[in-house]
Amino acid sequence: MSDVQCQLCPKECLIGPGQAGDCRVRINLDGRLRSVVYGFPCAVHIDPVEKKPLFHFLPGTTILSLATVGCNLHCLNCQNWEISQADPQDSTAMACPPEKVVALAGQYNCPSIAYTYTDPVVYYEYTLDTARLARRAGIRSVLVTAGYVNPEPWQRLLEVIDAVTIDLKFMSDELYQTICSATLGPVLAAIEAAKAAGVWVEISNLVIPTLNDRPEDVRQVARWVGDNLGAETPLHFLGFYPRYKMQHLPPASADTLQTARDIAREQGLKSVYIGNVTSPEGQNTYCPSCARLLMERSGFVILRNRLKDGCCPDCGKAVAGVWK
Amino acid sequence: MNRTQNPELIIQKPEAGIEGEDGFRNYPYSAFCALCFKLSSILHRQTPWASRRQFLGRLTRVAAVACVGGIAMAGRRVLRGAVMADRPDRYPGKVIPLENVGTQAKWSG
Repeated sequence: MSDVQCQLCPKECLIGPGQAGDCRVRINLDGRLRSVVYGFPCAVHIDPVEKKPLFHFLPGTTILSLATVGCNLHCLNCQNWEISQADPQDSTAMACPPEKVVALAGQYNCPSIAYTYTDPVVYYEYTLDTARLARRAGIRSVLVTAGYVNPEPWQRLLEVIDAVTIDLKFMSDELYQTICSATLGPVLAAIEAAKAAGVWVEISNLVIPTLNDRPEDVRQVARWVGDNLGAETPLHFLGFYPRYKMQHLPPASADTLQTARDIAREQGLKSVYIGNVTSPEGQNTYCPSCARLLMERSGFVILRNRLKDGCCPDCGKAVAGVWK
Repeated sequence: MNRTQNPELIIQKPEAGIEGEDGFRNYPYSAFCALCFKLSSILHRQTPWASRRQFLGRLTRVAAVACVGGIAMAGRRVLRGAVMADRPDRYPGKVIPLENVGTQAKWSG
């Protein structure tokens, strides 16, 4: 029996017979790489699309959201560590092949399906097959991911994906390595590739006190987004909450997030949002041209939507996004 | 050319009986170690200054090259690269019926 090298993500695990890769779900069985979670999600739910977070993609709709166990990152602050860091043999799952997922989306009137909660990169084949089927059925596909994936498989997946929320965790390779057991370069490359492929991209950045909450940290993220993705790319600053192996740090305050938003706007970004804390202004969408209120939100609920065919009703400026 | 630079003095035929007498014939690693030890002893007797160090240096270099080559060959023999994984025959954990689909997830994302 031979070893197998999984070439899906930059870790490129060399997997011995009977062993699993770093993600725990891609296993060498009889010299062949197998995704043991294919068709077996551990979570299937209906969420508001704003929860992903996606604020410029079919706002106000619900999205069928699913995940399997496993992740190729091991973030010390993982909010979903109970499933992302679980071994398949110790977990419960539901039999839900791609056909069933697409049928469920139709049954619950969801115009889109999200591959989320853990990281869809590790259940790549399941995501790919389901997204292909969904596209044929007129249902959109959304990835919520850390973007730690090799270029070739990423490109293939993007062909059937309509939107991505990518978590750009830090602008420091050292922090990526120490906190997430990953590296920065492939993430930036994946984000740029998604943009180049014409997929709708929103960026999230978890603000963690003492790690990446300094003004220069925030400025770096905002500047990179503006320079590489454009000023109208939505950027979500999400508040850290102590979880998993990072319970010694305090939660991010609303003030810290508001400051981050202000800095990002100073850098020229037009759509900067705040999540995980209460901030009415930080959750609303304003016209990038005339700055009038376009969408008023409270949590994941849209209270008012003034967009007319994706344009500001006051100045007529088209707002970047996927609105229907 | 002095004694320490003459390769003929360094590469000596080992004395007879190394394998047979001490029972190392069936244990290649032990036999190899014994051979090295004997060679080293011989060389030390015949060239009491620097030849032993020279011999051990060469031995180390040859061993390092052999190790690296062996590992590289072994790796090339067994390694298979793959992006796409096959489907599983069954789920290794517990499989339950679909539940709570219509509810909002407690999970982040």
